[in-house]
Amino acid sequence: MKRHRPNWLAGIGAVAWLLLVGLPIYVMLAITVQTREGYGRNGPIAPPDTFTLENYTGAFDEGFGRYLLNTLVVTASVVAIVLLLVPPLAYAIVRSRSRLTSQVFRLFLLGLAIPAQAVIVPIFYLISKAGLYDNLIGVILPTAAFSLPVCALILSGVMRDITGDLYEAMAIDGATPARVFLQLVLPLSRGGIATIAVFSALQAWNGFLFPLILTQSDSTKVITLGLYNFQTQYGINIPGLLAAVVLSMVPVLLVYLFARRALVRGLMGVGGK
Amino acid sequence: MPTTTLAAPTVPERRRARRSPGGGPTVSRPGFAWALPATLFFGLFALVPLVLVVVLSFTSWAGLGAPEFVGLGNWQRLARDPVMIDSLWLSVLLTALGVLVQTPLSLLIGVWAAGPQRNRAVLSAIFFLPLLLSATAVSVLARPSPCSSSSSPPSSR
Repeated sequence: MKRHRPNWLAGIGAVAWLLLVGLPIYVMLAITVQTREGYGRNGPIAPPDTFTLENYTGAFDEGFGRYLLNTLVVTASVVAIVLLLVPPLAYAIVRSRSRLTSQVFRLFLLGLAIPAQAVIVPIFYLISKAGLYDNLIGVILPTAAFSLPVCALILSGVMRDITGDLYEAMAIDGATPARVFLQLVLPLSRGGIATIAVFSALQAWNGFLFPLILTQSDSTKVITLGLYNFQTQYGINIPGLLAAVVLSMVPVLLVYLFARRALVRGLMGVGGK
Repeated sequence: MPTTTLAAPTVPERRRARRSPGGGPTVSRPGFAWALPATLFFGLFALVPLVLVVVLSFTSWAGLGAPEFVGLGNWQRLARDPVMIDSLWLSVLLTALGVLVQTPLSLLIGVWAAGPQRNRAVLSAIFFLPLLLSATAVSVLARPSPCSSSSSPPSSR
């Protein structure tokens, strides 16, 4: 194990980043378990001398449960749409010989470069024309549309690894494209499908701009907007605010814990291939 | 229903090139129909707005009623707007600094994480955390004094 000469420069870089990531997280957790008085006395860095969970219960009293539920609905729907649309799309991108399909793939690649804020005004126009303003559906549709390009890129990269021999074996059986899709392509790209599910869920969970512009009332508020509001309304209560931040992160961290490989693989697929 | 096109490939494909000519069964391929639902969906919510935003830039429109064509007026005003030039400059600066800071640091971390240290996997997992957190949560965290919270909303990612 110790045969390699340690790379000090890289080690220092790694430690610096660890501090940059780790310190705010420690400070945040430490603050949320103190009472407001304890926090005022000790400041942010000192170890807490009081312990309480009232900041967390307080967040729920302020309606955080509702926001959490809304975010869950948005996230689940976005993932469902992505899982419905992207696998056939990626299959067509990889296997179709139609000229139109390769043009379409180029359009999706173009879509990677469209920032949501550039098109938010027309989207607002479309959504309110459709009567979906201040409705979670109005948030779900554009959010799902904007996660399609990355997911198509990831999944088509995975599907490209299926070898031609397997397709030929299916062809000997006289399989139609639909059967090839269901019996060969889908089972062999399960990992990639998991990746795009996690990836689109993450984007939906952390989405801010679409909910900000497309919803208004408290009943359609998602968690990122809830945090934003907490900050402006209850900005003085820092332990309470940070407890809300922690609550908004916990589900993401849980998913990361269990699906880390799927997520990292997807990101490497985007960057490395 | 998906149609099978056996026309000459428009995109050169390695897979096809490797196959022995003449031999082997014909592999049935999916047609454009497989890509159609996703394309329509994406077109409606990303490409149509992209075209619309260009069209609307030549009009005067308050969000209600019909947009009114005003030619290049908006663009001329935009070019003279000091706030616009400022924010453009800030975006360039932010992008440049981001690349300049992140690239060496991530190279170092990458080199380190490829090494044989113990606990490497655990630490690599921690390094990855910021990517997961919403820009909103990070912005709330990064702003310690609530008194200064007035008018700058956190940028979305």
